[in-house]
Amino acid sequence: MQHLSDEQLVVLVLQGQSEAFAILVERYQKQIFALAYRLGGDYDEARDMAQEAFVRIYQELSRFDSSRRFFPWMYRVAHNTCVNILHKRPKETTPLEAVYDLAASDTSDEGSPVARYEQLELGDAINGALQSLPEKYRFPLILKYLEGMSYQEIAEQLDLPVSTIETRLFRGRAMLKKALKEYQK
Amino acid sequence: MMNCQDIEILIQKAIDNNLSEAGQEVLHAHLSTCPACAQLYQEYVELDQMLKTTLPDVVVPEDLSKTVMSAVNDLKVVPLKTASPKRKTFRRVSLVVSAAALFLAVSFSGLFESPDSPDDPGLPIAEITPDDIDTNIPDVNNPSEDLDDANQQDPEQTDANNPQADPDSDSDAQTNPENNDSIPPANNGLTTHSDTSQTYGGGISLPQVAYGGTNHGSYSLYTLASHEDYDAILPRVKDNIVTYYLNADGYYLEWQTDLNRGSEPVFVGEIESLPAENTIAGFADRSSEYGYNYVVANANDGMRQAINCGGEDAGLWMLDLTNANATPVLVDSNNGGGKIVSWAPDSNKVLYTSANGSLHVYYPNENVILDIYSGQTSYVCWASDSKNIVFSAMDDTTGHLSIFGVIVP
Repeated sequence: MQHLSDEQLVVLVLQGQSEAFAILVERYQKQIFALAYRLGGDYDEARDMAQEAFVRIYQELSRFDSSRRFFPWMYRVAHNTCVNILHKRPKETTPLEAVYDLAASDTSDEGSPVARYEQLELGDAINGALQSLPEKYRFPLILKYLEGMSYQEIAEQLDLPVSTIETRLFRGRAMLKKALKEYQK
Repeated sequence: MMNCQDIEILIQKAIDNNLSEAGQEVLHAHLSTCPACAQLYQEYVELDQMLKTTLPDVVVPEDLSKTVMSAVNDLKVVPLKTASPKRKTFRRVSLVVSAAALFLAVSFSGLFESPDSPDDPGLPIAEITPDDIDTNIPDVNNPSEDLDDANQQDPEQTDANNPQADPDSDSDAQTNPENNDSIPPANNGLTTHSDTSQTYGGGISLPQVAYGGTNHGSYSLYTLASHEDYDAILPRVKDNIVTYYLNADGYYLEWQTDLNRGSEPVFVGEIESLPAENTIAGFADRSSEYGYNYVVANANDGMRQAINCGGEDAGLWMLDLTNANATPVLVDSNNGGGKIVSWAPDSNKVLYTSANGSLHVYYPNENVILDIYSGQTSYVCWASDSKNIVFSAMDDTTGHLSIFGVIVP
């Protein structure tokens, strides 16, 4: 069953073979967990969000149009699930203990508490800037920088022409550059 | 000689290690003579480093797949299409219909006017003339048009943060309402409402409903109903009343709202099963005959047949029904191939979907195509005025189907 395409596995799941879904989970757990982690910023919470996202994907599977590619649909459902979870939780700031933990964990200059905290702040800023982008620009950037995918790989995953991916990456990055200007040297 | 806008593209390609040697020579020659672009190059390099170092790889928890499958196996609901919907206790839900977020408003007021109209915002659709219909159809997925269009606009409009510079900006307005700053204040008689007064099931508050509108000339697109958890489906229009259904975990909640958004939506009641899908006048699905997607619809006046088909001849075709010897003519090879085709009651325009579900209108008399919606469309219906279209389509802001309305010329 491992050799089957995503879309073929979906058909099997809809026929009642849940082991086919287990293969899809194995295949994409890294992408979905990374997405959850990138959106929420908390490792343990990302685990819960990823789990809920997969459950949602499973529940919504009958809505998937089998004539289309599975990954973009799955990624979108996961993204929306994570965003919904985050919207429902109270806004949080970085807990003070986390700063103390950072101070205790690294004593080098580069890893000084101030530097590490600035790094956290920068991460938040990048996350915020990414979130402010329209989805069509955000997804290619996430896949490129989180997954290290090439233009071709992103195009295949999102079922779009490579030239479209190029344009969206360029525009998205231009938007990010503007949004993060104050953090650049 | 490349201009600085072209160079910005080369800079980004270079950063992605995706620039040819010839391109690199051009780039470096330009950078050596243009301090502004040299500075830009440096900024992009820094941004790239920032993103690479601040977005580290993540290690997936070892037990994630096990816990996921455990949760999935514990589910009582299975994703089988044939499974009976499990009746669940109705829980409080909230309809999220922010007026700003809902508006997918795109001004195409110049559609049938001179491109030089002062009200024309310069969006590419306004530049379409019957003569160049085959080459100037805006393609939301065509990046070369994206860039070309952007390059032809003034510097302010080509600003990457300005969604108006983007022919795709209708979808931007949906996913990023904050970018939609070009929408004028709501001083056009359309209002935003909210109503929590109605109750369901003896005291449970119904979803709060908010909706609103703005007018962008002859073309405006707005959301009538949207829900963050459930699909809004099967819209029908009669006498300016839009009836639609909220699929709430096996419950079907029927709602009605005013097509013109002049009054509050009304909760009609819960139903056990959905009514049959709308019958599109003159519609026939002949896919089984052809072995690929092949749907047809005859115009009310009996003059034309529209054919939306997939396969090797994918696209929207028109057949002259008044001429027995006529053969179908391909009118849109870029957008057709979907499962929907529906004539306006006045027989002067036809609504159709592409293979990816995006929605378009073709004006056979003017030979003009209007891109309506880039998401996956499920149900469509025309109002009797042949101007109002109501449809259900995937809403990127919710991940569910929402009910959209559009007023076309």
